[in-house]
Formats: sequence, C-alpha cells, structure tokens
Amino acid sequence: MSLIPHRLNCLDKMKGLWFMLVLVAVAKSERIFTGDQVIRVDVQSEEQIKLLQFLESEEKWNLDFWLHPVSTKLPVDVRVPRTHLSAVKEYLHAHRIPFTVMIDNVQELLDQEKAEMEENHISERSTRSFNFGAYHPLDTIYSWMDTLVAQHPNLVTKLDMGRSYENRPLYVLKFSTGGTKRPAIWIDLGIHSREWVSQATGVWTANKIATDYSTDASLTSLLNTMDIYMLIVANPDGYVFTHTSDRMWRKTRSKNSGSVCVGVDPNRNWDAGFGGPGASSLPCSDSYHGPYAHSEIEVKNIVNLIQGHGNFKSFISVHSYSQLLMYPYGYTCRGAPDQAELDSVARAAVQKLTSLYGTAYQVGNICNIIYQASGGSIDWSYDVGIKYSFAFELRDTGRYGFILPADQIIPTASETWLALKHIMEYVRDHPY
Amino acid sequence: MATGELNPSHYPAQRAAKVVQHYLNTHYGSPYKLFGLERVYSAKAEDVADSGRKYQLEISVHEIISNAKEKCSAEVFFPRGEKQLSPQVQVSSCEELFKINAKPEEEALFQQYKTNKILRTEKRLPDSYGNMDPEMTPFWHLSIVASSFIMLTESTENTLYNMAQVANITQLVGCFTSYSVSFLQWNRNK
Repeated sequence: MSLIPHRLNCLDKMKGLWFMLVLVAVAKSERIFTGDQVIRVDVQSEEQIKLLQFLESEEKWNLDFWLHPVSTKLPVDVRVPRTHLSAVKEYLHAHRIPFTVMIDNVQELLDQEKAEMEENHISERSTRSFNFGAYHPLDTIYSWMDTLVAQHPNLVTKLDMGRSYENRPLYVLKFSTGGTKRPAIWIDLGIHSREWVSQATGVWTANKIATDYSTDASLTSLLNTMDIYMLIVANPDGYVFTHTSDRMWRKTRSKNSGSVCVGVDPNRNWDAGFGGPGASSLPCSDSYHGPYAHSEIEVKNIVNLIQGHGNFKSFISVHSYSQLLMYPYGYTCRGAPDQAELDSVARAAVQKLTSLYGTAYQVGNICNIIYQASGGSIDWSYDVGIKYSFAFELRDTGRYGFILPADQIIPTASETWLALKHIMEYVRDHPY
Repeated sequence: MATGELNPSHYPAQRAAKVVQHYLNTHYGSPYKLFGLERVYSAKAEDVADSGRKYQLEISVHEIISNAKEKCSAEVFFPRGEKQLSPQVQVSSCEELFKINAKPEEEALFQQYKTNKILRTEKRLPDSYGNMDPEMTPFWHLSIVASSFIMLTESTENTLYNMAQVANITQLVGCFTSYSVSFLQWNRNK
C-alpha cells in the first residue's frame, strides 16, 4: 500500500472509499475463531446420540461437527463458537453427557499452523534457492542437511557418527535404498579445514546424488545395490575456526599437552606408516602427526564407523588444491599391489573430469605425485582392505589456492562429479 | 633423489618447473603481466660434482592476463651447501612471452596512483571467499610479483611455493611511489 500523501480531490476521495471497502471485504473474508473450542463427546448410549443429533439440527447454535454423531462406537467432535460455549456445555451437563475439551482455542492453533506454513515456505524456497555457488558456515551446512533429508526421505538419512574435539556433531549423510550393510562407498571432505572448495563440493554433490537418483540410470542402478556415505565436514572444529579466526587453519583444534600450539594434522594421524617421513613430530607444525595414531577423535570416529560396518568397497578423500587424483601409497614410494588397476581407473576418471571444462589433472600415487606423507587416510583404508582408495586434490593449481573464488565451486563440483561417478560405477561393476 | 629422465608429472620435475615460474615473475612480472606454469613436457636431472643438482626442463608457460602460451626450455640449478642458497635459473626460447607489451597499462596505473596523496592500505587480497575488488587486481598481481622474489630466493628441490593471500598492502607516498607488501603467507601442505 502506497503511503504517498497527496491532496485529496473529489476523485481521490471516491477512490479512497472504494479502497476502504475492498480492505473491509478482505478483512472479513479471513475468518477468526478466537475462543472457539473443539469438544469431544464419548457417546455412551443411543439416547445420547439422539440428543447430539438434536444439537446438530439447531442452527442457532452454529455448531460445526467435525465428527458427526452416528454410533456409540465413535467419538463425536464438535467445534463450538465462543459465544455459545457456556450454553452448549450447560446442555451437555444437564443431560449427563461427558465431554473433554480437545482444542482450547481454535484460533491459536490456526495461527500456529499459519506460522509453520510460512516457515516451511521460506525454508522450502531457501532450499530450492540454496546457493550451491557460495561458501557457507557450518551451521548453515548442518541445517541444509536436514532439508535435504526432508526432501528425500526415502534415500537420504543423516547419521550422527560422533563428536569432534570441541564437541561438535560429525554428521554423515547415508544414501541408501535399503538392505543391511550393503557394499558401500565412503567419501570424506574438508578434513583439512581451509580447503573450502572441498566441503562446498560435498554439499553440491550430495544434492546431485539425491536429485539424480531415479532419473539417472547409472546412479539409480548403483544405489539399488550399494550405499554411499558422505562426510561433508570431516573437521568441523577447524572449519569453524577458518570462519572465525584463521582462514588458513588446516589441522584439528585439539590441545597438545606441553605445547602452546593447537591441533594435529588429521591426514597424518591415520595408522598407516604413522610417524614416518612427511609428517612432523612437532605440535606447532602444520603436518604434526599427533601423539599416536588415531589420537584425533575425528579420525577415530571414521575408523570406528568403517570397521564397524565392515563392508566398504571404496574410500575417497577429497582435498584441495593441486588438481590431482591419487591412489596409495603416500607413506612409501613403493607401488601398491593394485597400482596398475588403480592407475587406469584414475586416468579414466580424470578423462571424464577434463571433458567438461578442460581442467587438467595429474594422476599417480601420493608419494610420487605430491610428496611423501605418512599417516594418510587412503593409505590406511587401502591397507585395511578397501581396494578402491583414492584422494582428490581439487582446483586450482595455486593462483588462488585455498581461497578459490566461489564462482568456481559449481564448475569444480560438476567436473569432479564426473570423475566420482566413474569411480563409483567401476566399484559397482567390480565387486570383490 | 631421482637422476636422469624424470616423470614430468611427478613432484621432482614439478617443483623444479615451479621455480621457473617464480623466476619469470620476479624478472618480468608486473601488475599487468603474470606468468603461470602450464605444463611440464620433459625433465632431466643430473648432479653437478658436489656443488648441486641441475634440472633441464621443457615446459609451457602461460601469461595469465593476455592468455598467451608458449613452450620454453629452462635450466634450474639447486646449489648444495651448508648454507641454503637460492636456485639459479636460465630460460631460453621463450621470447614471444617477453615481447608482450603491458607498458601502457603499467604506465597508466603508475600515473593514477602517483598523484594519489592518500595513504592507502588494503587488507586481505583476496578475502576469505576469494573475492577481490576489481580495482585491486593489479595490486594483487603486484603482490604476486613481489612474493615471487621471495619464493624464488627460498625455493629448494623440496618446496612448492604459491602465494596464499596478501595480508596487507600499503602505498607509501614519497619521492616515488612504492608499495609495502607485508606478511605474505605461502604454504605447501594440501
């Protein structure tokens, strides 16, 4: 309604009158039920039924029966307008018809419902327009997870797999169409908190899996026999720290006894060549391996889940940056037994990735391609028998590095999806 | 350390090639001319008596602003010794890239900010989300050039440096306009 004041001439006054009438009409059309109550009568005899049917026929009471009086086996529910409440209750008392008040104030309920609807509308609007091309703080990602689950209840569940050092929940999204402990694929993202495009890619990818299921034949066949577990924020304490204090924080936020320096490199903390080359024994180092393998609760929780499940067939860790797709080992430059196969799967996956925007990736084992690094996640997963273990380093190659502009999130996630899908399809087609 | 023919996508070759990028930016970079390592085609390493290791590289280099690409040959020598010394770089057959003329833009930028009497300080380029005021882009490039000098000096066979973020850039007004770029961070662990 425009409130621009202007001098009212005759025509304006006429317009004003019409406007007022319209307002009144609109106001009247939304009915108010303040003070109305809904009463439930547990009918005990045919006589009581007849008495209630008489009430129903009396128009002057303006009673609105929600459940009509028909038999003694069923309750009778009636909304009684406020103005007639005392009269109706007196009538029921006089005829010894017992009743209970189900709804104390109908309008209150309606207001509540309206508010809920608006809330849902807003949240629905916001999930449809959830900006996948932006970086979000932890709380936003966590609440978005709930909306994803709500939108795809038959496919996605959110599991609380434990707590972080600072007691934040670790939520893994499980994509499953049923079964018990089906062969599964593990994907973790953001274990190094400053690699923001990793968590952001996880969010986009989770949405992609949920929305493409049942329309994409390959994905559908995959999910009909396998489960996907996705841990979008593997290091929530670190992630929050990158938002609040230090954008370049990499490690966990655990306190190191005897040192002022905080945190352990969670990708040097796994029980795979633990404490070997490429990891530091100094708490102040960014690649500090920690006091012992799996000392970090974030790592231990993943280990517990994987071992407790016992049927994971693939383990994929997603990092940034460098544009690499790697397979074990990092703790040694000696080739893994399945190196030839892993190499060919990775090369084919990268071909698919590159096909989208021409983004060039290198392929190789960790030790040769990036650096020797002990205590890494995919070395651990490979050594516990999960053959198809891979690590991604997403965009870019150093121009922006960790601080990748948000407009590259969706392109990065889209191209990475092609590689991920290839790996997952290969795992599906090569059971072991 | 590997000697002889190296796998071009493995890190020993990649790290040596990165040093070439730092060299090019240090010597030829400007707010309007910035080089990136595009690809390593081949690499060879050999020990030079006791004095160090020499890498011979065939790479392609990318001038980011004009989007020109060229194949270059380069030699990188990492001296060995008690004290860490900077690598020495020689580049050949890269002439086209050096011919790229950004002088007009560089001159315009210089004139624009020479007369600016306000002490400018910019923090965090880019910001945490990768955003940057377009007006600041030439100064981001300038910072990359400046950090390339440090990265070139500090590089070894075991490092792979990139500038992570400009913490602080301040314009100092005096007889000439100079910029103090402070607290650059760079890191290699991904």
